[in-house]
Amino acid sequence: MAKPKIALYWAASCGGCDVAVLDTNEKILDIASIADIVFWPIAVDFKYHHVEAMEDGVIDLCLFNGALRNSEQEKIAKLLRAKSKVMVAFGACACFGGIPALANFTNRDEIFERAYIEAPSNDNASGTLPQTLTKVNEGELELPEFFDTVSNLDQVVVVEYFMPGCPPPVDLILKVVDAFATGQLPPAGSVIASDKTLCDECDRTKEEKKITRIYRPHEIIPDPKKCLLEQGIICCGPATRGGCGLRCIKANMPCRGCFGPPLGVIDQGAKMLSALTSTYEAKEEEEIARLLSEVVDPAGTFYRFSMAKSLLRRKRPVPVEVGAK
Amino acid sequence: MSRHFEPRIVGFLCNWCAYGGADLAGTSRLQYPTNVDIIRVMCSGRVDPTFVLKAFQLGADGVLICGCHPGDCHYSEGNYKTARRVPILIKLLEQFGIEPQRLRLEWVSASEGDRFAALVNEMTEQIREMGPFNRNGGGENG
Amino acid sequence: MNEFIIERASQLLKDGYDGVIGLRKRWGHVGPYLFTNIDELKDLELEPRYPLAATVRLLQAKWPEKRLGAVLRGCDERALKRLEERGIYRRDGLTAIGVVCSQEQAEECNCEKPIYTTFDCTGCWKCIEKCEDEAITRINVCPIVVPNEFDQGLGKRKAIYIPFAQAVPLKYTRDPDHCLKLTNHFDCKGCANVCEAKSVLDEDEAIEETIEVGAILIATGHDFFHAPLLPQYNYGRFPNIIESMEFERLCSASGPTGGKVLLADGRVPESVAIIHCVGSRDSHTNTYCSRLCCMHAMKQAHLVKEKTGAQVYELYTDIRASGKGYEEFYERVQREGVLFIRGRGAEVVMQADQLVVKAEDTGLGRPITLPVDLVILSTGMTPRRDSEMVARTFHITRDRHGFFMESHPKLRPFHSNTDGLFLAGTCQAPRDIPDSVAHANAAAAEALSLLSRGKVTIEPLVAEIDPERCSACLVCIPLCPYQAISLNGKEANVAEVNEVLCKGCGACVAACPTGAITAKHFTDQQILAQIEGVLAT
Repeated sequence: MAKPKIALYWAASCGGCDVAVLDTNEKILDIASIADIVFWPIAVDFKYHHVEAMEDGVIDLCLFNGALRNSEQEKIAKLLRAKSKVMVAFGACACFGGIPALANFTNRDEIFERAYIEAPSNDNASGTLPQTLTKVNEGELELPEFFDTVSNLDQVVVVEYFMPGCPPPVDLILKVVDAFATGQLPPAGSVIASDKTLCDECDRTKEEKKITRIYRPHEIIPDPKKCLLEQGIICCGPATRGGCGLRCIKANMPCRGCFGPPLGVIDQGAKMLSALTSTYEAKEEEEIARLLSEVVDPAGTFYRFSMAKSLLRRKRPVPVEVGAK
Repeated sequence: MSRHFEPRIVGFLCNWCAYGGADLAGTSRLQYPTNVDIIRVMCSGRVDPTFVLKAFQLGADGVLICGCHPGDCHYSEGNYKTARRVPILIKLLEQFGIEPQRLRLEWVSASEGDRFAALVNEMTEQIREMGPFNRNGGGENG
Repeated sequence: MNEFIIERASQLLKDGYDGVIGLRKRWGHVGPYLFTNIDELKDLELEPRYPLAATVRLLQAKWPEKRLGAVLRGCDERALKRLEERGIYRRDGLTAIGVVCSQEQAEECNCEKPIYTTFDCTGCWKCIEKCEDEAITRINVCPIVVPNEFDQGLGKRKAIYIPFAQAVPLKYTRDPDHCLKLTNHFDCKGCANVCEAKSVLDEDEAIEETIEVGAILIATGHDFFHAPLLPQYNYGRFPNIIESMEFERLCSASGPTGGKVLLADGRVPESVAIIHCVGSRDSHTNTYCSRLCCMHAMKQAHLVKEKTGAQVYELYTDIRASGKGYEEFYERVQREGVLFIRGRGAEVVMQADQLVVKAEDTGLGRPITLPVDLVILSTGMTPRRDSEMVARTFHITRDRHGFFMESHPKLRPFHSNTDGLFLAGTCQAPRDIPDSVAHANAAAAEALSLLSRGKVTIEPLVAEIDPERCSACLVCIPLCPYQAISLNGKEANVAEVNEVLCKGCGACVAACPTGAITAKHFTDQQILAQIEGVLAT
């Protein structure tokens, strides 16, 4: 019997998810022995045309990491979807946009302006910007189209499983591979993480959620035994799925929300904002104003990993006149 | 700016004070614009920031949250909770390019029918001046 | 007194004294006797008065070497002193046991000895220091006197006292702020020594008890506006400017003046001004009307007229006389000659030892000045100074003036927003006696009705926590004003809502970061559907 086929792809990604797969260390050889890796740009030499040549549904499992922010990534996502039986949104970027989705606070024009014109290390006196089609002597050069808005994977294709995390922890990766190998995958649409939030597995002591001041992580050294939120540090644990093994908490740093919103929550940032402000012990306007000034970047703090999947999704440009096009 | 633009404002009114005040405006036959669609909640503290974001996502031009005056909340302190949530929400919305005037938190008691009518009038005109919320400015690639 | 004397005499005999001279009834009448046996002492008499000085002198002269004791009155001592001064008598070897005569005896003898009035004694003990004969010892009753709160500071009371004549229970209580023993100044046994019921406890400590109840009535009452807050009336700076409650105590037969209306120097006033709305209907202090001051001001005017015949001016803003017989009383008081002037009293000043009230007479349309002997400020009714603490303890809200907030101003004026907690009387709003009785009666009836039902009906608008989604982050727990949320006991891994306590406000629902809490009948899905509905084009 033929070995099952696995593909891995990275879209708008930092490469960390691929490194996480490699972090399985010697078990990577087990994976290689039970399955055929038919496409994995970072490690193996297959090309797009190899995938295009495959029949639909030939790939048994596709682990797709990275967000989608240009036309090439969108095209390959759709291609791999067609060729795969099971599509997994691997990592926070593929699941809900991740860090790249923070670019939704800007747009293509602003990004290009900054990257190609403004940035001090540029030597671009002519102000050349990337074009999708460029004529050169040898013919035509194609560059992918750069979108204004970053999407997560299931906003473009159907996804069977979601593996959150930045990156997903090694033990969860191994669990998935194991389940796949033994044919015991969970129901489609599942998120491979805890259904409860980080607070459920956090072993710090929780006493009373009443804070009078917010500290940024560099301002104090928190007590490693007490709940971080109770010490005034914004920890997104209450609004984030558990299952990561508390890797940030154990380093005495607050959770940043990379496992995404818990089951049933449609907007992680809104819930975190509501939970945080509900713990404020403040009645006077001045106190509330001070607490407000202590949260320096609400959008970035609350939507650090889930911007693409949030309700508003991106920053609005200035409103257009009614009737104008 | 816009002459025929009718703002669509979603109002979250608490059952005991604000809704009573709006009711009183009605029974007193006070004239006020129909631009606010009222959704009744038991207490302004029930208003989840998710509701506000959902309203803007679906294209509301403004959101109005009305509760009891501080100290008068039927549930003792619900309005204080709202008062703590809304300022950061406004700051967040600004980061999303939504003008701070589009989200308003006001205190209206059950006997202040005229105040409610004046408030709706004022907010409607203000948002009319500002123009519609760019409901299609999100999520399109390109 | 008898036992005390007999005990002291016995002690002398036990100590080896040869005898104690006292009075004994023999052959039908009382006469001097030398007690040499302790058993005989039970026949010791103290009355009537029999001068013993001569007997003592004779016996001492007869037996100069014997040690003798004698039970002596003040007059006996004075007599012996005179004899000593004249050189006829030597006191050595005599130990006196002093006897205090009763008031009747002292009056009969026309005796000039001092009588100690415990009420006026301030416990300075200067008399003890001054008395060269060391004839004064501390008597065992309360030496501390402080101003009487019930008399608005105009009268005095001891550190152990009955608060007022109608107190329930009508028992004495020690003032923990002034009692020497309770403030740990001195182990004073004054009251304990004289208490026949032995009910003054040496180690009197507060006992805390927890009682489970089904209903609570808050009847904590009110305070009055503090007149010094309006400096234009110069209350406290000049004499004879008093608050209405102080006047009530002056009028009262059980008050500091026994019911006489007197100025500070004891004179009877010939003219009195009563200023209405001090601290009421005032944008600078309290904007509300205190409801009862017009009526009690009229009553006070009537009493002044009755007791002193003085000229009475009432400076009013509006007359509120809307009860049964109230308007008729207003007319009667006017017929009695009380002058009602419409205009708020603006200022009370002192001009050459004369109090002058400045006001505007709106009827005449010009300012007036009224020279008077006494000014009564009708201070407004305010919430009690500690009402914030009470409100926090019982989780009841206060309205914008600080009175406890009723559940509905028309339909539920004696319910608070917390089930089972009722408001009675002036703690909820200013009201007079008949209204307070009605209000409190209603609250009590409601409480009884609640308790007698055996069941409680609650609204279905409650919050519910899904244990599958709750991660025990604890964000919701301090938010609940009814403390309806707690962790599930020992496991403490999910939060739970007590349905009976939950009132359905939804604050916890909005705060819950996992969406584990649902507000029944106001769910997220329902509200989101409404938002979608109103915005669907």
